[in-house]
This record gives sequence, structure tokens and C-alpha cells, in this order.
Amino acid sequence: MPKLNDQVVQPSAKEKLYLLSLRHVLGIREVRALLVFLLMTAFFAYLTGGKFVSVSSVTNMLRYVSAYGVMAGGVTLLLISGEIDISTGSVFPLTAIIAALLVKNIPGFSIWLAAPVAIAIAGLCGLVNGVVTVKGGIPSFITTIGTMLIYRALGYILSGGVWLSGMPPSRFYTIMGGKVLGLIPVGIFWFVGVILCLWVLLEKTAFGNRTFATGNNKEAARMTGINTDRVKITNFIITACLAGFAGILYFSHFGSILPIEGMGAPLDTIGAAVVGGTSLFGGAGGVIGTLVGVFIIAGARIGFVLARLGGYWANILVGSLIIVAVIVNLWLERRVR
Amino acid sequence: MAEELLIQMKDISKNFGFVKALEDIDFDVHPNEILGLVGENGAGKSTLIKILVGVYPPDKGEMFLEGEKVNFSSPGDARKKGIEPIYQDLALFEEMSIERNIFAGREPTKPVLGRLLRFIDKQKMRQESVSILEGLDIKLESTKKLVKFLSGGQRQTVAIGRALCFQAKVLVMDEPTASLGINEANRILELVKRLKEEEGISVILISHNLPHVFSVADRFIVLRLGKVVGNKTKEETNIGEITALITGSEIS
Repeated sequence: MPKLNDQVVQPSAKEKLYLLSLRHVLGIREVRALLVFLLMTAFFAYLTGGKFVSVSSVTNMLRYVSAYGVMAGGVTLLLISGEIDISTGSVFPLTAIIAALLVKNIPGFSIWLAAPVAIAIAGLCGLVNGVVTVKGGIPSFITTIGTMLIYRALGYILSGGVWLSGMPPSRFYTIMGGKVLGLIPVGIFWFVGVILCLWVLLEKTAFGNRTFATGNNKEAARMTGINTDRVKITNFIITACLAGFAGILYFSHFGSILPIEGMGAPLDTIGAAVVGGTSLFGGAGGVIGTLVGVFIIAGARIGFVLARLGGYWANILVGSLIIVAVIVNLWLERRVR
Repeated sequence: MAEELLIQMKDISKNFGFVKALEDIDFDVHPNEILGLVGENGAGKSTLIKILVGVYPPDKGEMFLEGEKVNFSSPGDARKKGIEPIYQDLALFEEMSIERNIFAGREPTKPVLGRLLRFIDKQKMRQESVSILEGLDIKLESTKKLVKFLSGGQRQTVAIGRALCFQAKVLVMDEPTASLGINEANRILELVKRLKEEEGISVILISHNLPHVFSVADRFIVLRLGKVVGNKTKEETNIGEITALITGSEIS
């Protein structure tokens, strides 16, 4: 069939104008998330008399952001494909525990090998989440409530319920968890790096396009020949691997791991994604917005502590932000139409 | 004789439990024709079409495409052979751009970093989307616009554009004018006529709107209770007769 029109097309002047208009710009989720972050920073800077933007509080924020941020990135991908994972907070310590135990109990087993093995096991956790959800036809929320409990229990059983620490020194920990210039936690670079890789995956690859399609309209996606089962399962695996990676980052920075760690992860990671503009209904969103969302939540937590109001206020703010973010995103989208 | 037909379905039967959805159906589509497939709800139109586009196989019977026997194991299979369905709900992705909609599942890619990775060839995706849509005479600000911001007629056109992008031989359109206003409906019907005349594509039009079907179709196949009860060219018949065949009343 001959092409109907063979001209090469550049963006027209009208198109460029549209892309620059306020309408279009405010329609971008990442822009809205950034606005919220700036507003919040201003609020806390005022409330804490400027302490919020001091060097020490910023480096504190960066430390917090790194591990949860990596997890939030993976969760974003999964949300876009139309599924959810609340077991990430359990995979997080489990992976670190497995790595620590491998090093401690197998003579000559270095952390350089133990970490990838542990992350691969985390990937298996994700595979289980994916296969049970997709092939079993169970909503992912329910699957991952179950696995959240199971993986957490495994962490307790394997570690005997105690703090794991006292690892033999290794450059590995410096690379994964050290500080640059004595100040900036290296984890922040890992976090940003992971976000960028995820961004490329989502925006530039066919897999990313199919992730969006699967989340938008699973039946229609199958009709175009997309293997939606494979897309979803792959995203479950990525999410769990990143949760495991986050556990390794955390462990490398703090030198120890408790099986109870990561309990706040599901709220904070999904919250960061939602506040950053990713839809809980699937099919829309992005990791750059999640990056901003992670900073918003970290900022809220640290801001309230600095303002000497205590950590619980942070939960009020985070909870409210999640609700407000969903409402505002919906409302703004209708207006921009 | 079979070589003259674009699609030939012979003795097609399909049962769902005790229900005989289709009984010994013979269904042909000629090249370069607009065929109206009409009948009441439950007559078997959807079932027949689903078999044609590869959603499920017939229990009995054979299908030929341009003289060659075919067995579709999936909708993807049928699409590769040039049979493109456009469902009533359009099966578009609301939160994705027009160009990503058109190429979902068949994204053009180019190798990156030697042959390590493949990225979507954005430029190619763009050019082809714009080409197709301009050919369909639709004015848009940008193919990056999300489908959810488009009107009913524009969406229908994007769905058609998606079907055309891939060497379609036959379009199967399910109630294309059902949710459109008068102007948009006429535009779509005009488009369908142009596709037949200028591009040589055949179109199977399923619709309850007989005046619409009559304005463009060359031939009509009427289904009732799982059987073919009428196969008439436009010249041989009129709306009254077709209506009678659909409902089974004796008045003609």
C-alpha cells in the first residue's frame, strides 16, 4: 500500500507554540511535582529558620532518599504497568540479610559475589509476585500482602531476629555506601543513576511503550500482540531487584541490617510515585516525577524533625499529600483539556 | 475461482455450549469492496468477525486469504496477514500519545551502542504517524498529543490510521459511527469510501445504522440466528428488504 503522504515533517510553528504554552507545561506531571517540592521547601525553610536548607540537613535527606528512592523507581514502573507491590519493604532487608549471611557463613565468600546473588534472589521474589498475580489471576495488592508477610518472616528466620553487622571490610562498601568529598552520600548517585536508567527504559524502548500500553488497556494491548503477562512479570522482577539493591545500598552505608527495616517502604515508595504524578490506576506516570516525590517525602520527614515537631507530623503531611496529589492531578488534567 | 476473492470463509460453524452461534456460514469478501455485515444483536456478527480476526478458531470450516488457506492462532497472526480490526471501543490507549498509540506493539526500533540495545526510532514513528494522519485529512496540533484529548471522530481516525500503518488489506470496522455526531459520521463514511477507491482496501462494515451502511456499501450480508439469510449487492436491494431480512418478517 503506497504511503499517503511522503513528506518529511518538522514540528510546525503552531506545534512549537503549543508545546511552550502554559497549558501544556502545567499538564506535565513532573512540573506539578516540582512546584509542590519548591513550595514545601519554602515552607520548611521558613518554619525552621533556614535550618532546613543547611548542609547537614541536606546530606541527611540525601541519605534517606537513596535507598527508598531506588525502590520507588521500581515501584513506579510496576504501577504504570497496572500492578502494585507492597512487599518491597520486606525484600529490602531480606536481601541485605542474605548477603550478610553468605559472607559471614561461607569462608572466602566475598561481598562482591554475595550482593549480586542476594539481588538475584530478590529477583526470584519478584518472579513469585509476578507469576502468582498474572497466572493466578489474583490482584497484585493481595498477592503482595501475602508475600510481604512471607518475605519479612524469611528475613527474621534467616537472621535469627538479630542485628547483622560486623562485616569484614571491603571496598565494596565504600563504593556502594561511602561518601564523596567526605560529605555527599554515594547512594544519591546510585539513586539518580537508577532513575535515569529507568527513564530510558520507559521512554525510549519498546518495552517501555508496552508497559504503558499494558497499564492503559490490557485487552487492547494484547490485541496488538503485546505479551502483557511478560511485561507485568518483568516489571515485578525489576521492582524486587531494585528493592534488593536498595537493601544492599542501605547495608553498605550503615554497616548493619535489622530484619525489621523497611516497614515504611510501601507507604513512602508508592506515596512518592503518586505525589510525583504516577497514576494508581496504571497507564500513566514517570520516574522523574517519582524522583521529585521522593525528595518531597524525605523533605517532609526531615523538615518536621528539624522544626522540632516530631516524626508523626510527617506522616500526617505525607498521607495528606498523597490524597491531595491524586485529587489535584485529576482536577488539573480535566482543566488542561 | 477462489483467487478472485480476498477472503473466503467456508462452512464456518461455532458453538458455545449448546448455543449454535454460527451454522455453516459461507462468507466472502471481494477485493476493493465495502461489505456491510448486518443483523440483529445475537445474530452472530461478532462471533463471525472474531473468528476472522483470529480471536478464536471456528469449530468447523475453513478460511482462505487471497486463495491461501489460513489458520489464525491469535489476533496478532491475523494482523500480520493484513486483517485489521477496529473495535467499537476503539481499543486506544488514552494516556498515550497518538504516535505511540499507532505503533503500540509494533514499535520501530534502531540499534544503539553497537547492537547492545534497541531504542524506539522516534523520528520514524513521528514521520509515519504524521504522514498517515495527514493522508486521512485530519488536523492536529501534534502527534504527541494524548489520545484522551481527542474528539470521537478524531479518535476513530487515529484508530483507522493505526490499522492502515501496517499494509492492511481489509479493515473490519465494528459500529464506526455509533457514537459520532452527524458531521463526524459523514466524514468517517467519506473516509471509508476514499480508502476503498484510492487505496484499494476492502472494508467490512458492521453496523445497526442501515442508512449509514447503505451510503457506502457495495454489498450486504445479512445474518439471522447464526445463518446467512441474505447476500445482495446494493443494486439488487433496498433498505426495506434488508430490514425485513434482518428481522425475519415476511414483508419485503
